[in-house]
Amino acid sequence: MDTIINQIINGIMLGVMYSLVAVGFTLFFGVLNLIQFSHGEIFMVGAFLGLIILNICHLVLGIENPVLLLFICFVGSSILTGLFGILFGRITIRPIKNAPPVIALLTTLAAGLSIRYIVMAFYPSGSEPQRFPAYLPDWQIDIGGVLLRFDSLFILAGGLFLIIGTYLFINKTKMGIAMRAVAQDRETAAMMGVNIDKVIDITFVVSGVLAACAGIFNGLYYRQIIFDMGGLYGVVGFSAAVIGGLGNIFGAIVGGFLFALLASFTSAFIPGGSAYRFVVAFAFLIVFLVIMPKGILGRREKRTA
Amino acid sequence: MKELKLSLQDFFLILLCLLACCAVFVAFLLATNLFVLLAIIFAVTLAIYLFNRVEQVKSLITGAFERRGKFVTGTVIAILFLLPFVLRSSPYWIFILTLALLWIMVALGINVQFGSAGIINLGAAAFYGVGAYTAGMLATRLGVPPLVNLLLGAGMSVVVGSVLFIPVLKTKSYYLALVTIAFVMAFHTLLNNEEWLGGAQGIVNIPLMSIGGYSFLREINILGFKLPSQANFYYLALVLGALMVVAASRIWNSWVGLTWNSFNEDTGDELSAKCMGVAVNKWSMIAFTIGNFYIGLAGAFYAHMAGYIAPPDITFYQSLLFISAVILGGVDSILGVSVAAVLLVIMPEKLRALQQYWIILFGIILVLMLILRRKGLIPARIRTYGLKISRALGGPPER
Repeated sequence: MDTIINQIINGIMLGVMYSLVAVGFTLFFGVLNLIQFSHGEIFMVGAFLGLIILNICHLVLGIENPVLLLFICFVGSSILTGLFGILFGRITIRPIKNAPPVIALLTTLAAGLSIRYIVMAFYPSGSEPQRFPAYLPDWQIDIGGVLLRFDSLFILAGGLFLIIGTYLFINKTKMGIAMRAVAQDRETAAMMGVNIDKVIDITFVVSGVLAACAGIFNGLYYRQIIFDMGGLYGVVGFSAAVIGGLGNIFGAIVGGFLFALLASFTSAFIPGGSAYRFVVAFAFLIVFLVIMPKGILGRREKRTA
Repeated sequence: MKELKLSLQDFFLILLCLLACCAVFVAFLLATNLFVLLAIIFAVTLAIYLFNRVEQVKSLITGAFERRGKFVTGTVIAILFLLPFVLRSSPYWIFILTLALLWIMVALGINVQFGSAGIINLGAAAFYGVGAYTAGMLATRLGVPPLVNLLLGAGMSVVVGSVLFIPVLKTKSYYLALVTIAFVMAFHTLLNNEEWLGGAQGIVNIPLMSIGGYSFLREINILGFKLPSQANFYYLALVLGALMVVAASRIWNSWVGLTWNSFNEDTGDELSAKCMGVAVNKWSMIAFTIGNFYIGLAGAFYAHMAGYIAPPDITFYQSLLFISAVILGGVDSILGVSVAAVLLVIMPEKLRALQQYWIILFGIILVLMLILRRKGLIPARIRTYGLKISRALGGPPER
C-alpha cells in the first residue's frame, strides 16, 4: 500500500513537470498553429542553464544561502531560456510560419537535434549525467509510513504557482489577450493591430520560462540531468498536450497528470512494470487518439472552406 | 546522317556525364585527406551551380538524358555493376555502398507512404527493426534460409504495420506523427526488455546471407579479378534495389501514384479526392503496406548482412534519419530520395573526423534545407503522360 501511495506521489511530481512542458506545446499550437517539437530541448537547455547559474553563483561568487541561490537559479534560468527561445524562434520558426504542418514538425525536430548535441559537445563531459546540487532541505514528513519529501512539496507548490501565473497572464494581461486573439484568428488579430511577431516572441518566452522551471524541478527532484533528457520530455509533453486537447491549457495540465499517473501506476501495479511504463502509456495514447482524436478538452475544429 | 550524328552526340554526352559523376563519386569515397574531400564537395557544388546557370549546356544535357532514357538506365546499371571492380581494394566501401542500397529501399518505402500518399511515418525504424528481428529470430532459432527470411521479414513488417491501420486512417499530420513516434519508442523499449528477443544485447550471430549452398563469405573470381566477399552482398542488394526502384517508379508513373497524390495534403486535397470517387482509406492502407514491405525487406537484408541487430539501431533518431532522406532528396522524387539516401549513409562515414559534431551539422543542414529549399535536392518531376502519348501518336514533340 505504501509503495502505491509513494508511486502516486511520484506520479504527481512527474505530472507537474510533464504539465509544464505540455502547456508550452499547447501555447505554441494555439498561437502559431504548429507543433514546436524542440520544446523538449528547450526544457533541457533550461535545466542546464540553471545548473550553470547555480555553479557560478556558488563556486565563483561564493553565495551560500540556499534560498537566495535557488531564487537566482530560477529567475536567471527563466530569463536566459526565454531569450534563448526568442532567438530560436526567430531563426527557425519565423521562416516556416506558413509552411505545412509536417515541414514545421521536421524543422523543429532537426533544430532540436542540433541543440541537443551542441549541449553534449560543448558542456564539459556533456555526454555523462550531470550531478544537480541538492539545495533543498532534506527533511521529510512521515505520515503513516508515507514519506513526503520537502522537495516534492516544493515542486508541487512551484508548479501550482507557475500554472496560476500563466493562467493570469493569458487571461488578464493585454499581451495574454493578444495571444488568445492570435490563437483564434491570426489575420483578424493582425488587422486589429496585434503585432504577430511580438506575440510569437512572447509565446517563446512564456513557454521557455515554464520549461526552464520544469527543467530545474527535474534536476532538483532526480538530482541529475543529462543532455538527452529532452527527447523523452518532448514526446511526453506533446502526448500530454494532445491527450488534453491541443490549444487548451487546462487540457495540457490534465493530460500531463494523466500521462504521469498512468506511467506510475504501471510501475506500481504490474510486476516488473517499471520498464514498460512508457510502453503502456504510449499504447494508451495510440488507442486514445483513435477514439478521441481531438483530446479531452480539445477545441472543436471549425470547418473552413 | 544528321540523325546518326545527333544520336552519337547524345550517347557521348550521356556517357561523359555519367562517367564523370562516377569518377567524382569514387574519388570522394577513396579520398582520405579532409582538404581533398572539401575540394571535391566544393567542385561539385560549383559544377551544379554552373550547370543550372548556363542554359545552353543544361538544355543540351537534359535533352540528351530525356531522349535516351533506356541508354541512360543501361549505362547506370553497368556502372553500378562495375563499381566493386573499381573499389575492390577497399571492401569497407563496398559494405557501405551495400548499406546505401538498403537505405535506398527504406527511403523509397517512406517515399511511398509520406511522399506519395502523405502518410507521415516517423516510426520507420520500428518496421526496419521488425524485418531485421524477424529474419534474425527465424534464422537463429529455426534455421530458416536467409533468402526466405527476406520475404518473411518484409511480410512480418506488413503484418505489424496493419496494427497501425486504424490510427493511420483516423489521425492526420501531427497526431499521426505522434502515433508513429509513440510506436517506435514503445517498440524500442519492448526490444530492450524482452529477454526472448535478446534484450539489450539484441540478436547476435545471425547466419550471413547464402543462396542454396553458395556462401556469401566466398570471394568472387571473375576474369582474373578478385572481388572481396562483400561484393556478394552488394550484387544481391543491387538486384533487389534495382527491382524495387523499377517497381517504385512504375507505380509512381501509373494511375496508382496519381491516386495517392490526389489525396496527399501537399499535392492534392482529400475532400476533393473523395468527391471524385477515390477510395482514400483503401489507398492509404495500400501505400502504408507497400512502404512497410520495402522497409521490412531492407531490415531483413541488414540482419543477414551485419550478422547482428540490437535495439540501439531501432530508435526515433534512426527514423528521423530515414525520413530526412525523403525530405533532403525531394518529396515524391524517386531519383532524389535515392541520391539523398546514399549521401546520408556516406557522409557520416566520410566525416568520421567530426564525430558528434556531425549530428549538429546534420541538424543544421536539414533545417536550412527545409527553410530554403523545401522541394529537396532533386524535386519531383511533373508527370508527362500527355507528352508520351503525343509522341507515341507521332505528333509534334511538345517542347
